[in-house]
Amino acid sequence: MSAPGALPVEDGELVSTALAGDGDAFGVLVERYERAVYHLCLRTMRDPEDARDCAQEAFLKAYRSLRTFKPGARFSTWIFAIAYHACCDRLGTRKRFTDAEMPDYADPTPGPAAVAEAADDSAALRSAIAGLPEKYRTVITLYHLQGRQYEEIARVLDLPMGTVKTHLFRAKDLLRKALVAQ
Amino acid sequence: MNDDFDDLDRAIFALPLEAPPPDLRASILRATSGAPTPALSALLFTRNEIVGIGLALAIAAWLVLAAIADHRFATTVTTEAYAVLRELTEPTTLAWTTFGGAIAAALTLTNLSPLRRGIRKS
Repeated sequence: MSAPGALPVEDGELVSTALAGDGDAFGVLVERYERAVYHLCLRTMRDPEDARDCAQEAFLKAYRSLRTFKPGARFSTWIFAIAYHACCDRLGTRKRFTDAEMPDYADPTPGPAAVAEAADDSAALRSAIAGLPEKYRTVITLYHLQGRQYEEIARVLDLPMGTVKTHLFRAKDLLRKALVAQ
Repeated sequence: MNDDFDDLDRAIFALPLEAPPPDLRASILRATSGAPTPALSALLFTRNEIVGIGLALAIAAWLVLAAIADHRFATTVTTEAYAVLRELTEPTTLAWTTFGGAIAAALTLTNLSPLRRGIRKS
């Protein structure tokens, strides 16, 4: 319960407050998730301009659909799912994670700039993640954002939990191999 | 499945998130909560609700104008409405409606309704 006049702390309460007409409440949600949503979009799109557009579109769609947000659900899962679908729309397909590999924007092999950037461990890991096939890259990104919440990751991607775990295992395996090779 | 990736997990969780462009938040807020409020706010009515309300108002206006223009129209409408109401309140109609409603409710409660899946996925 928040103090009178103060904005609530819980995401769900912020949604209710925003629905009641308080624009500042939605501003708090934007502030809270802007970075994570942009990160997810950037990892999926691999283009800063596209990522920016998708992140903005995701928040716009979320704002227009606030009434459909179910009380008790996690706002992060909801906004990530919207952002992910915005990215899929922009990439021209919603059918992700099928047998056929999705088109990648960039060459997965690290170029000279990427190799130079991989001078420290985190840069190397970032470069290795960027080189993953898209389905693994997105799962790893959501794992990074949501922690070991497999069920939430599965909800965002609309995939069975077993598939998420399999993708995650393969993604980590590929990452480890890529890091050893560097 | 062997999941021996503790070091990798630590490295993944230690990665900083990519910083968004500095003007992204302002741009989002300008397009959402900071945007000028329209006459019928999107937060108050969905597009379908606005269409429904508009349709109902248009029909109501048409009925009023038609009734003013021709008094027989009002009598005819009243007679027809009464006839429809009488049909709907027939015991047979009520029995079939109840039967249909019960089946729909049963299907919904047993998760067979396609609507339920649609709502979950939205």
